[in-house]
This record gives sequence, structure tokens and C-alpha cells, in this order.
Amino acid sequence: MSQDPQATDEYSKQAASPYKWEMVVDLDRCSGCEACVVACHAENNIRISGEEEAAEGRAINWIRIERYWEGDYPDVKVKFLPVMCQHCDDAPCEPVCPVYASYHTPEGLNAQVYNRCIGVRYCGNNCPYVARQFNWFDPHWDEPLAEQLNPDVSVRSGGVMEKCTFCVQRIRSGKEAAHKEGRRVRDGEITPACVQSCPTSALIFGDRNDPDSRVSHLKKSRRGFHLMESLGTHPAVTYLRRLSE
Amino acid sequence: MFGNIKGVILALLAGSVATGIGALYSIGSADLPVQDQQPLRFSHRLHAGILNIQCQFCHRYATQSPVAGVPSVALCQTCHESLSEATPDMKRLQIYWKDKRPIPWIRLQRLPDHVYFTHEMHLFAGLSCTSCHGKVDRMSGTPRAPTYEMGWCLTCHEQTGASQDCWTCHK
Repeated sequence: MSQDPQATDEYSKQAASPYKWEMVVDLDRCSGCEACVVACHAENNIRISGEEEAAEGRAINWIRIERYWEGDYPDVKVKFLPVMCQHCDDAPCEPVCPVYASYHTPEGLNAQVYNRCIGVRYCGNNCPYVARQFNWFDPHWDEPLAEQLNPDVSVRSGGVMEKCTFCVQRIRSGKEAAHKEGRRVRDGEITPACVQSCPTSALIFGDRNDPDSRVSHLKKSRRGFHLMESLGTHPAVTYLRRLSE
Repeated sequence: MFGNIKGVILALLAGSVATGIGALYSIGSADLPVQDQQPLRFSHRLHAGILNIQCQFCHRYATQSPVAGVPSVALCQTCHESLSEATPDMKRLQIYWKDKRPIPWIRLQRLPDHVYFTHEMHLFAGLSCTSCHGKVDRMSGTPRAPTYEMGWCLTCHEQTGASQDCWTCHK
């Protein structure tokens, strides 16, 4: 890759950002209940697909629980792996977008600007985690679910790519509250919907730049690993191995 | 000879069609005075200008929420209760009050669904209402100063050093 001065500037700007958001998933705690999936749907106005659409592979989930079955009946063990957008520092989805709808925010979030998206789906094809979801249809909700849409999140129309945002609307309001009080965001002050709803606290969210935050401590754990680490995507989601393994 | 006249007529015709279509694009529908048909002829010039009532006396939520808020009829009544019903519009206000009905104001400015905007943070940053809404105290109708388009927002964000990250304003 060529070194152009603008890119270096952009990099230094990113490094100067006060926050760097990180999520830790403790697999030893995950019971596969899918409360996070439901909470994510409710928080982020995710279209509910019917049985038919789901069968055609058109269902949309920003977070999903992968299941791994081990052993034969009756000695079966199920292992769960929650997968959401990994907000990679070197995201494969970003350079392929022809209209810069997919880009990296200074706070380390992999962002999708819906009104820029023209729906070429290059980003989705390039994502090794299958985190990006395409709207094949216009959104619809059965009554009265349409009445409970979150006003802080736009409703994506058909032909647009969408994905996990780490609940950027919550990050934004947390940052605004901190800014008004002239301080940094406290650890645990911002919780994405999935983190908030997790009954076993398997998901932890926080600021990587804060050395005392829970995620900073946990990501140093010996149990820590990243999904498909060999690809060099440098995800912002760290997984902690099961203790029983 | 005839060919020339035909050409001139054709050029004029094409020109007028282009002007007409161009005008439709350049004028937002909210800019037309026809749209500003409010149920009451409320004058900002009178209230904010001549009577010098502060913006946030009526638009109460501007410092603490994304929306500035439109005053309730009860808030109008705090002053109008002790005023005589001098004009037809003041009489109409009293009808709304007696019927316990809100005034169905027509909203002229609406940001698209993919835009996040908050009055709260803009006022916290020290902007005044007139920076964006213009000289409201001189407008007799509903204020509609700028276009509220992205380029217009970014001009100010660039000049004041505010965030230009897409996700600051796009949701």
C-alpha cells in the first residue's frame, strides 16, 4: 500500500480520539438464551422476517448465537458462540465500499451510513464473520409492533446493508451526558442492548483507552482470543475461552 | 427563413420547460407561503420581537432534549388568560382552550429519519437560536430560514471545529 500523507493524518486523528470501544464475550458464561438477540431486535428496529423469508436466508440478525454440538446422544454437549459485528480495526468491509458508506469512526467503530449505501453488497461479501445483513425487502412489523420503534435508530429501507453498531445511539447519549458534566464516560455507563439484557453478564462493553476499565483488564486474560485471528482483521471483540475446555 | 423561426420557438419552449422544472427543484415545498397556513396566525415578530419574550419561555425543552418543543395551550394561557380577546385569532385560541384541544400547528421543518440532531448539545456549545433559525423576532410567520441540508450543517461544523464524523449526525 502506498503511503499518502492524508492517510497518516487520518490515522493520527483516530489515535487522538478519547475513546476506543471494545466488547468482551465470556464464553464460559454464555448459556445461549438469546436474550441479546431479542434485545437487539427491539433496540435497533430490526425487521422481523417471517418463516418464508428466513427459509430463503433473508432474515436479519445483528447478533446471532452459533451452536456447536459435540458428542452423540445421550452424551451431547452444546457450546454457544454469540457473533456480532467484530468492529475490526482493519475491517475487510471498509475498503471495498464504492461510496464510503462503510467506514471507520475515530472511536474504532465500523460504521454504516445507511443513506449513503447503494446496496452493492461488496462489504457483506467481504465480511468473514457474516455480520453484515442486507435488506432484501422493505421493513414491516406486525401491528402493534410498528408502534414501538426506537426513534433514535433509523428504519432501514430495502436495498440497504445494515449491521451491529455497538448501539451507537446509546454511546452517543452517554458521551453527551459526560460532555455536559465535563468528564469522561465512566466505565459501565454505556451498555449496548445485548450487554444490558445478558442475564449471566457474559457480554461486557467499555473503553479500551481507559486502562482501568473492565474490558481493558479482561482482554489481557490468558483465555482471550479473537475470531479468525489469522485473517489479521484485529477485531474489537475479544472472546474468553471456556474454562472447561 | 421558416426554419429559423421554428428553431427560435423550439429554443424558447425548451428554455421555459427547463426553467419550470428547475424552479420546482430549487424551491423546497416548505418555502412556499401557501404552506404556512397555520390554524392561528401566530406572529413571532410580535411575541419574540416587540414583546421581547425569550425563545425558551415557550420552547421549553431546547436546553434539555433533542426537540425544542411547541408550547401547550396552557402555556399560551399563562399570559392570554389576562388579555382581552382583541383579535379573531385570540378568540380562536380561547376556543381551543375551552374545548381542551391542542392547536394543530403545521410543522414546516422536518429532518429525515437518518439524521440525528439535538437542540440540547447545540445550545450547550453556545449557539444562539438565531444562528440557525435566523432573525425570528422579525418574522411574522413560521420561521424557516436555511435549508437544513447537510452541506449547511457541515459549513458550521467545519468552522467551529465540531465533529465531522458521519456517525455524529447519522444514525
